Amino acid sequence: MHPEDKAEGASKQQENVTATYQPQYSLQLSTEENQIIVLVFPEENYTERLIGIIKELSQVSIKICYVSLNRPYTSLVENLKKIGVSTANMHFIDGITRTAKIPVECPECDFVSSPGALTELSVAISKVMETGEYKVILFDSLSTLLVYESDTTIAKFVHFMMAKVRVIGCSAIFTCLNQDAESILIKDINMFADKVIHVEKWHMGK
Amino acid sequence: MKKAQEHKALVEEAVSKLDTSDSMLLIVEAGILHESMVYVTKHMLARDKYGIYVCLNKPHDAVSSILKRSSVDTKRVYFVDCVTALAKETLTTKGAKVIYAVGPHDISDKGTIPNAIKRFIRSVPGEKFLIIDALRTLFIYNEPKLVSTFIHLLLTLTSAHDVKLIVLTRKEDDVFIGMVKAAFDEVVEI
Repeated sequence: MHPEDKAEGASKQQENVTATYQPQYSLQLSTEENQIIVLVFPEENYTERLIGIIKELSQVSIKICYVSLNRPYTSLVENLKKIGVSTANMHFIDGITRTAKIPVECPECDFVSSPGALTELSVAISKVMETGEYKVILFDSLSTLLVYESDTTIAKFVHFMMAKVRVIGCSAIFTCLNQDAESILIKDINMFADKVIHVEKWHMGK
Repeated sequence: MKKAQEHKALVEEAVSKLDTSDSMLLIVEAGILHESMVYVTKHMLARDKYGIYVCLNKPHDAVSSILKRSSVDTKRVYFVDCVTALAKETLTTKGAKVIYAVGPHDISDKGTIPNAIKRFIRSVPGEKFLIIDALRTLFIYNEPKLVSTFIHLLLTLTSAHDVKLIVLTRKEDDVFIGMVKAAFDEVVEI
């Protein structure tokens, strides 16, 4: 899929998010056992479920760095605001907008040239993490990376990111789609993360 | 809970084979690799041995925390940390119990991983065991031939110094496992 189509598709899908969604689970990211988790989402309602998690995270007063490789920053912020999620405590790293257009620079977002630009992504994420202000990194998603790079390259990148998260002492959530759960990459990443959670098995309250 | 206990029993049964053998390749599901590592370490420490733990997946701080949370006394465990240096340029030495290698890719004969292992094998007192977690990570970072050479180097080294070697890896990696498994005394898949 062309990145522009992907961005537009994701944006349309985002509009379907219901404001009544109430997640009833706790990630308990602060514990050492759950410092780095991989969330495996079913393909259907991916956005809805992800928004639920963002909503939950935003209710705790911690700063979040949201790495979006699926949705452009502007539509993401618009949709989060629509369902009452404040983005005041969030910094965004957008890997999709620049594949389609030259973005308007803003202090709340770093634009990376493409989801496959792993060095750029590493630099941008490291810069944010090293400020020490952001306690959670939300990486959306590993499945998108798989479109752009090989398993081995992504495994090294994620291994590096996870090492960074542990060294700095923040937490991280990496997302992926169910269809990729059996991929070599996710099996490899399972060795580096603290927990892999299949979201469909959680109770989804509405 | 029952599943965890069954798993623990299976790992312990497998590792007890090291009473009469010198090296083992232990193949488990990726999701239970770290639990397996805990059971292996606990089992070997209970045999009054000193441990040399090569951390390839997580920094030694994280591995040490996992062990401590599982009530494993890490006083007799020495770490070769192959992960922290990936994320941190300046490393402060944490006493004599941790040696930082530059990364999982540094396994050539003169690399920092073999050198750190050699240093610990020569300097740590008493009977020892060496744990590598995980073989799969070495294959992510290195050419298969180099990993194979490294494994043979470890086997030579551990056999010369009477050190028990346990290499963990994840399931469903048959091609790479097939390249090295013949070198081990025991290959157990759980």
